[in-house]
Amino acid sequence: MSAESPAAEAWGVPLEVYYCPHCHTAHLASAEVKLEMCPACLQADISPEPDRLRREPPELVIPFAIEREQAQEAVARWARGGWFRPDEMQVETLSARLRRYYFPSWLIDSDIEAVWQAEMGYDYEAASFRERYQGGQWVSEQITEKRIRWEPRVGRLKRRYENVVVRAMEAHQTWMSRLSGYDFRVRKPYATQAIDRSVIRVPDYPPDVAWPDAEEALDRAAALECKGASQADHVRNWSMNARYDDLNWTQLLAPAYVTWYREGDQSHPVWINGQSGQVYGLKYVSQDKARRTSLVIGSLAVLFFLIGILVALIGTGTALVGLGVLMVVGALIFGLSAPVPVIWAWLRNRSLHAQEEREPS
Amino acid sequence: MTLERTYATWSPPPGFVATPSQVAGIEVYAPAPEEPAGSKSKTFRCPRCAGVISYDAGDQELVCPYCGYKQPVGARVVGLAADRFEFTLEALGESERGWGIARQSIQCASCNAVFTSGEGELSTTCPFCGSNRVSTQAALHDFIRPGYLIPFSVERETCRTSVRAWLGRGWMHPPELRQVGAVAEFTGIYVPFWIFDADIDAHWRAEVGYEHTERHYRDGKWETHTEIRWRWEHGDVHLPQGNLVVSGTSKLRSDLVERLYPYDLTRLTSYDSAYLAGWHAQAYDIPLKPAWEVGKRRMREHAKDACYASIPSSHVRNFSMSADLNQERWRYVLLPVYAASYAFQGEIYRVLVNGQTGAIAGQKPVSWQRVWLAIAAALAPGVLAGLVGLLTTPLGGLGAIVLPVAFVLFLVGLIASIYIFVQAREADQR
Repeated sequence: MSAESPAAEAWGVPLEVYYCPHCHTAHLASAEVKLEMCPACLQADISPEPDRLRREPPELVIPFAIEREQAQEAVARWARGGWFRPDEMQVETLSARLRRYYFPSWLIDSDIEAVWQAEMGYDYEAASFRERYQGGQWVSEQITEKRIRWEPRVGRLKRRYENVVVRAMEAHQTWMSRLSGYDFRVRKPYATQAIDRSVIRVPDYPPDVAWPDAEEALDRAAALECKGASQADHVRNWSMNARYDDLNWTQLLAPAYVTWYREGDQSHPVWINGQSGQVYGLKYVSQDKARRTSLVIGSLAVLFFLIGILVALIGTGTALVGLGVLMVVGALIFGLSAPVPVIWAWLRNRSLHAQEEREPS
Repeated sequence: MTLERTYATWSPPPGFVATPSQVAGIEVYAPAPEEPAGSKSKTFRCPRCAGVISYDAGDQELVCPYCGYKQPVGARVVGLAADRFEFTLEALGESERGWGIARQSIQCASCNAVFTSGEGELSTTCPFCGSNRVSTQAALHDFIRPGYLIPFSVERETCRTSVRAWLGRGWMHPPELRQVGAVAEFTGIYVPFWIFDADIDAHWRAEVGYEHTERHYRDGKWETHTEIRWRWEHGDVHLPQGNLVVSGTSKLRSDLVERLYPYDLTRLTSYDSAYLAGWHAQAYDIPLKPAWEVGKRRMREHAKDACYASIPSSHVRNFSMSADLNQERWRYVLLPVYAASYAFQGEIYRVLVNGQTGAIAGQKPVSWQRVWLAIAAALAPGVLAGLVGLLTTPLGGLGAIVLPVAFVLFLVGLIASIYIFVQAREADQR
């Protein structure tokens, strides 16, 4: 893509747009990032689709507070331990695949002319009293309680609100919860270096679809300011009749790292919050390893069973018969436990898979 | 309220005023603070003849004594629905500050004379032109203002007549009291009172004793033996306490004031300075906190009594309890009292009359001469009968009959004497 392309115009650097028909997400990546599969669902049938580029430029970026090495350590801690770990769930493999990633949010600027009304709550302290009678004496106790006095307030508002954050992905809340959220106050103006060797998710929603959320967010911002203007401590029953002018949509990028591992014929992503280091990933277990373990247990049981029968036959009429019977019984019990690893692994993977299916990407 | 208007066409709803906003571009409007009735100095003059008018307890209106012009007072009776306030730390603190102004200089709006009003006086009469002037200017500097009052409904003349009758009542007082005509002029004063409410949740614990009676057959006869068996018990009592009245002034003797109760608080009326025209009115000098201590003491004693009443035995020991007060509220009101004094044999005696009900509480001198005579009269039959009995004993069996009768008469006389003495002493100490 040339420097004159829409992406270069909006982002300052040439970027390719990839679309995944499997999870219906689009991503931006520079030419040096070879995007062979969708970073969100890890399906391989990703294809370039320049039409999916959003024209709204990035304005602010939450900077990476976690360096690549720290992200690798966090992934290593996450991958450590557990039964039947997949072969690919190794620190080296996961570290080698680690890639910088940005989640988008909309930033909206708007002039608001509004008429508002609300109940403003003012904290005050009131005394309550407790009296105790013991041994013929009264003892008084004064308890100070914090209470809220609600008062009606109305007014007009004429202000410009800038960079109000609005969700741009359908699964915004899910991602915020998986990665323990971001501090959106820590942000700096966008520069092309910020997205160097990074994959950037394209907003799922265009501004017109995101507008109800934006309106709600602008209302919240206005309510907060009116609370401040009224010198109140709380606000409730807020309503506003507003006109929004001079709307300007830009993007805010929230940093993350993503890597993945393969278990069987499925790939599974592992995400690291680029600001806090919080790791999110589903830890599948290796079905092959579990199967092999079951096979070993089963084989040993069969071996003991045969030895037990042999000992019993050889020792007919002697005390060895007892030992043989004991070995046979032990082998049967041991053999019964043989399917446990494979069943456990199957059940665990099935529940993780169901969880993955339930949650949007 | 709906927000149908836009920024350009909007205007604040009625009753809302602009308040300072901390954010540029945001206008804030709040309900207008309630203008306290009579917050400004007001002089009451007849609009017809310019004579001084005052509130008339009989007509319950502003009346001009010169031309007969009457003007109703617009305040409404709110009764027990009168606003109650929480014990905010602000209220407790502010009430401690009291008036802050001991005396204030007043310029009469009618004759421009400058004079001073007494400490805490809400209303006054110009000594030069006689204008009735009501001012809560001083109260404005104070956080707590009277919000309600009960207007005078007993007329001064009725009050004078009933006090005269009251003075002449009672055999143990000097008969000359009937002739005391020089009872000083009755001064109608709106006296400050605090009214308290609270819900009490009390929990008590005590050893409760139950009498246990057993009958034993011993040495050929039945014996009854009663013992008290103690056991620990506990219980809960919920006790709503409403409309507890506590005086807010130290200028009237509290024991006299308490004898004026009860007031019919269902007649509480929104404060209107017109009710004070021609009457005196005092602001509190006992702040909210110490007054609440008095109210609280009474409430907890009521709670203690209620706890004892819930115990199903009269034998109680190691009693302890806790009382949680909830929904504590207060009101500051002005209640009508007539105050007067009279001189008798060089002493000054005070009389108070409830300006709503006409109940009288006052001091009356006791004629100890009469009291001793009454005691002597009560004891005389027993003493005389005893003497007769003693004298007739040597004469035969008659004395043996008279002496027990004399003893009984003496006992009855003694009990009556003690009762009379206690009554007289109480009356004398009032």
